Amino acid sequence: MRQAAGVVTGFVLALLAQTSVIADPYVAAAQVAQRLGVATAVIATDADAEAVRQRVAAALARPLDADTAVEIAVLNNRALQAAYIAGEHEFAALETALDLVGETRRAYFNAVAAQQVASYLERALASAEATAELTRRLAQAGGANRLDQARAAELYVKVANDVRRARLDATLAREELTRALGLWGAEAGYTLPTLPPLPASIEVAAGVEAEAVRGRVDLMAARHAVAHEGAPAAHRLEALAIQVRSEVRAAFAAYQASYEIARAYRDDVIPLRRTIDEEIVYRYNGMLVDVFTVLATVRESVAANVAAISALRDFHLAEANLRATLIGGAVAPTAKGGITPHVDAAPGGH
Amino acid sequence: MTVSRREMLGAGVLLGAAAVSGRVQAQAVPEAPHMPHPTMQPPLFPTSGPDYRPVVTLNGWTLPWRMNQGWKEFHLVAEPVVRELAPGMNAHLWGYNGQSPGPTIEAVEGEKVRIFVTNRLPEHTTIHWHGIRLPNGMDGVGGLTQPQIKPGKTFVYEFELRRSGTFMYHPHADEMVQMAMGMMGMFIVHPRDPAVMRVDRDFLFLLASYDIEPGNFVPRVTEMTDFNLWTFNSRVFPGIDPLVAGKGDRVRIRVGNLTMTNHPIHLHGHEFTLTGTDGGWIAPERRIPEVTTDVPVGAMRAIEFIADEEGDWALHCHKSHHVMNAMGHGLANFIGVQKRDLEPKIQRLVPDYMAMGNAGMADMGEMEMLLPDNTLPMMSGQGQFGPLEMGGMFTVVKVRPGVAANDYRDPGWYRHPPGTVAFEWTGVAPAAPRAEGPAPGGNAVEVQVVRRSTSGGH
Ligand SMILES: [Cu+2]
Repeated sequence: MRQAAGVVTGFVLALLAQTSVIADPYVAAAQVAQRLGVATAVIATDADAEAVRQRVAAALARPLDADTAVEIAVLNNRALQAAYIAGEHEFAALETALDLVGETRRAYFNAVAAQQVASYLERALASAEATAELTRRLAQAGGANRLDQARAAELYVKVANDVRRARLDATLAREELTRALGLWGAEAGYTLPTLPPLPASIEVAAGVEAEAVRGRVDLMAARHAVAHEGAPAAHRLEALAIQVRSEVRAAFAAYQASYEIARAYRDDVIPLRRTIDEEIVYRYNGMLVDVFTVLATVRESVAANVAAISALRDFHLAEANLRATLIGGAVAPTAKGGITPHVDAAPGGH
Repeated sequence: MTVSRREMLGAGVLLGAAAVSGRVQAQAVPEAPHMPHPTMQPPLFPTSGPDYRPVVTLNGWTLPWRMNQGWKEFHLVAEPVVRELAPGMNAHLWGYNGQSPGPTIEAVEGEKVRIFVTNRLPEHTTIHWHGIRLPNGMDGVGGLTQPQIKPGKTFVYEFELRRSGTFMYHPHADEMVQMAMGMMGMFIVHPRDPAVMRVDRDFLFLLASYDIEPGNFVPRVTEMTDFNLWTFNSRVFPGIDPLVAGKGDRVRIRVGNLTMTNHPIHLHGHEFTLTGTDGGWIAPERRIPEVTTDVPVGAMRAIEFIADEEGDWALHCHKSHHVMNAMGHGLANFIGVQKRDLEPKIQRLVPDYMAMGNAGMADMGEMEMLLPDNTLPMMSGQGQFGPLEMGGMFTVVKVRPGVAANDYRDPGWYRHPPGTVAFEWTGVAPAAPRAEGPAPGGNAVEVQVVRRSTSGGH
């Protein structure tokens, strides 16, 4: 039943199929592995712990993607280990695992996006810094006044605070992910890439409700209860099924809309921003605008790019939510409030 | 040079013409010649009617005519045109017979003229003959002296030229829009006696201003003061023809102003006298010598001088903003601000950024940089000694010995006799007293610099 490395994968379920010893953590782990299609483990010995540690270390050697994050969480999260052993009822461990998967995916996309936003905002800060420095030098040469300087300096401080806030957001989001992954010490220093690109197309709505009604673990548990408890449980099952259908429709609508929004950012807003940036440089070349306008345009572009990152994150969160509504696990609200960087018009010399 | 327009006008317009001008015989509408390019055409010597010395329109042409039983007949077509303001920029304007301004009309004092005006614009128009004595009903003021000419219709103006001089024509119907769109032309009435007010070369141009946003093609017609293109005959430097003269020629330059501000027109190297306005010729004893003459709004000025100094002499409006092309007006003045060290930092944000303006704006005249579509540099042009750094209302009077009477071709740059060009002093410079002023890039100015730190913190 136990593999040498202590890792349980889906195929061992076949060996366990005949047994109905629910309290066996290996049965619970096998059920999770089979249902989620990812490897998990029962950590009972030092050797088990070492095997899991090695697998986690190997997975963390590369920048972490979403599926790997889920794999690490399912292998390494000790709250899930507790659920394997506790064995409260037939679906308890599976429900814990599904919650963990959803939480991990959400934490992953939030952490990656927050890190991207924070690093993008450095551009806005560099622009505000150049604006403030140019205004200061302009004032030294007699071409700007105290008002211009105060405006430029204030803008710089506001943007610097945006950056501080964004860095804090990135840290908090990353810690959320780190907790889901069950990491600490050196392993918590993992590397995050940028958000995965939008897929070329998205799922179609047809059949998703039926899929959820078939596959939701909470519905399975409710059906199970009907066998033991009779009429009240039957009503609860009916109510839950109706709720699930609505949740799926809502999650699908969010998934579809967030895809369209992210695609509009990718295909329209970002290319248009490039055109705007280019045209502003042409106008600077022609002495039609000055460097302050160029720098203010940089900050506008940062705002557009931050919005694009947030839109892509929202799509991935909506996709994770849709998955959760189809198989089970806690569902979280899709959209998180994004950073709104300061894009105040250029001060100085006007 | 000209392209027949007869076929293009079509039967409907011909019928309309006949309907309007009942006094005119059948086959009545003369050809409407069309000019497809902004190249200056040689003077059009008269082959019928009384003799005179024809004028030369900068970057323009004179409208051919036909004689018809004692009437000199012209045909103007009001229509949308594409005018090249200078190589690199086309303006979508309204004009006459293919260009803006329209062709110059030339006739002689005492002649009877019949001018057919066909309207191919999307709205009605009229033509007012600015400064010319004529019957009131021929004055071309829409609603006041005639009904407007509807699109597709042809009207006829007939009058006798009672006075010689320098005049112009322009719409007096939706006038603000139509003049902002470039509708205007010169009307020259030569003295009956060719010996009167005779000159060797007779140049003319109209002043017009346009406000064309960088990257746009049509002017903003509602602008009242903040124009960005100041033109001679809807051309800007370096697209304006030079005025070529033989040494010793008596030269006349006639200037009309259809902008909404005055223009002090200044000639280098010569004195001239003001010899005429749209009100008439000025008696010789009343002329005063000048080197700049102010051309008021809605007025014409004729100046004359003997081109007795060889060379390339600037002729321009003396308002310095009027010898620039489109530029920003809210730019910070970076003179004395050292910012080269910030360049790499800004280039990380904007890869194509280049620091400019640390010493002035002359960088602009020297650099070739990407600009918005259909936009001319604020200043450009290349002379034999370097960049000219000009735009707008600027051109050159080129005086050379031995230029043939009707040769108006650009002779190239002037070859200065040895020792007659300003030169760099290479000897020991005397210690000249310096004016007290802020040190270059200095910080000893009486400006309170906010000392609050704005760097670091990240
Ligand atoms: Cu001027």
